[in-house]
Amino acid sequence: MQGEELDLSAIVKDVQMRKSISVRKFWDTLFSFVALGFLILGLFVLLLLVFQLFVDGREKLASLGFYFSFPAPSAEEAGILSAWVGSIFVIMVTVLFSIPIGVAAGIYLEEYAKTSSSQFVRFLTDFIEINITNLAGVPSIVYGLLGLEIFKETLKLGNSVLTAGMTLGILVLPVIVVTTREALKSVPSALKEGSIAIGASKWQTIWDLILPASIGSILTGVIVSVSRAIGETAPLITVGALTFIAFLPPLPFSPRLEVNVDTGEAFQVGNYGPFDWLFSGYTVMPIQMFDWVGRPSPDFRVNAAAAGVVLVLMTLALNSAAIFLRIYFRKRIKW
Amino acid sequence: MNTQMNEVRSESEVNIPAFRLENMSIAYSGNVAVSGVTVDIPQKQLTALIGPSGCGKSTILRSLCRLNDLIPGVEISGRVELFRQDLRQMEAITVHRRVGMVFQRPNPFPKSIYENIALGLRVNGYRGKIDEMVERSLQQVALWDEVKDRLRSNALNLSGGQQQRLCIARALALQPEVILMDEPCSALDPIASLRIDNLLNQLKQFYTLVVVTHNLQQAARIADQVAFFNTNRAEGRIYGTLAEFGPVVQVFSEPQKQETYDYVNARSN
Repeated sequence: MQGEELDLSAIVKDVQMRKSISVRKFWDTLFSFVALGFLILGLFVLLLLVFQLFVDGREKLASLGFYFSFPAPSAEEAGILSAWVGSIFVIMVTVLFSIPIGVAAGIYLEEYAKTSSSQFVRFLTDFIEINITNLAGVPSIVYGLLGLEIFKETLKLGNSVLTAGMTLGILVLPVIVVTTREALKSVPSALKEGSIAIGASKWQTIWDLILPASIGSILTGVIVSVSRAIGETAPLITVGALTFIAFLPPLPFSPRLEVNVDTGEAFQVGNYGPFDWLFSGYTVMPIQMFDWVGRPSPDFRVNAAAAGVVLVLMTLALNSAAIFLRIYFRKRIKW
Repeated sequence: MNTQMNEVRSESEVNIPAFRLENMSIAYSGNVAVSGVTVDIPQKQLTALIGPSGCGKSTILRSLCRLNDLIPGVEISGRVELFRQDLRQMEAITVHRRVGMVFQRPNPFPKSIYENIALGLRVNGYRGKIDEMVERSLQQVALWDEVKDRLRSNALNLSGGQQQRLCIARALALQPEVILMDEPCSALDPIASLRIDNLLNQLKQFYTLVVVTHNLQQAARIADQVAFFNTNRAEGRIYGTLAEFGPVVQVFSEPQKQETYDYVNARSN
């Protein structure tokens, strides 16, 4: 090294480059302000929207009756009881249906199929991967048609919570598969090799190490996709959600009442089974809103705005849960 | 410590090699990484694999414990025997049980110190007392006194050297016949790596050890046998071959080949 002489004069004398620093700094600052401006614009529009909803629906939001009464012909009496209860029941089915299938599919694709010794399986995996990514972008109403055809017509499940939940389930399934795969991918391969090296089988490696390490990201993905599903309207209109409904899905083992046709008195005829709620009619928050917005009376707009705020809050609660879970699991896992 | 470890050793006669490689070649999706390796790795000795980057030392090591199975497109030709059994015909999990592996970067599981060792025992259906085995393995790597009061704390809070010793303990707990190590000290500071060297010098009385290292001084300190791999060029591709194999004194002091001499001396000057 000592034998070669470097020509340093060119570096020292280049004042031109020094000058360009201030110019680049200026552009740097300018761009950061432009970006900030657009951020504020975006947030402002969004906040304005929520604020407008809140102002419109403030009277309804303040009254407890709104949350605990069924829809009614008059705007004053109408409430969102059947809608929010319906939303919760439907989302419960969605979660129970889509998490096991989506997570299992993601595990298979990422941990088993990708490292398969068969060239054909690996090719098929790539093919499936492209398709799943595409499915995540298919418009939701197409899933509505799918649900209509499979669950309602073929499986004869009717206008039920089950049909709605499973339709939303297949809607979020691709997203869950993709996020599960991403979460599994982010587990360092050194960890997997360490586990294989102690003689653990593939399943033991997945169960004891990979899943605990990635469960936070998986749950986050699931919750975010479910919070998208809770606001979906189109597929549920397709599979036949009701818009005016004055009963709740029966809780398991609650008394089943029937009305005597002659006297008009209600009497108990046994109890509901544990799964009867699955086959009950239902409505959900966005559909209730949609119905109210479409009515000619302006009074119902107030109800719609209030329901909108409640829906936004429900989504917000789910997303906060996702953020909380992410922080909770990140704290425990570190590499 | 002797008696503890002696009961671990039950394998047949001392004179059969732990590994016998016959004309072994490994290719990654058609690109040859290492070619035509024939060598007997003796039992209860420490064999160091040395050589320049890209000569296939780590590739060989990973094949000896069937870790390359995880990578699609790896083709292995030739014959590999583990105590006279065809390694490639054996069940992969059996190989992992009998041949332990310690990696370049310490990779403890993100669990408690205790659980790092207990997990290996549990997944293999160990029936004995796990507590005792955890203590014994940690004592073997001289980590017990440092961690006995915080066995339930996360292993990732340990220092790098402690983590690596924990990884060795994790391998020891399964009572393997062979332990492979891929540059076990390259991520550690000199003091921590000296402790590992001392540990390896003790362990080699009871286990067959195969250690890949870039550090020739380390190889001289710990090895009984040294295998020197060199890189070759053919049609613009680089692949490794075994250039020389022999006792440590021979390879370092009177190498049989010019290439070995060049490699060994360029570094130690």
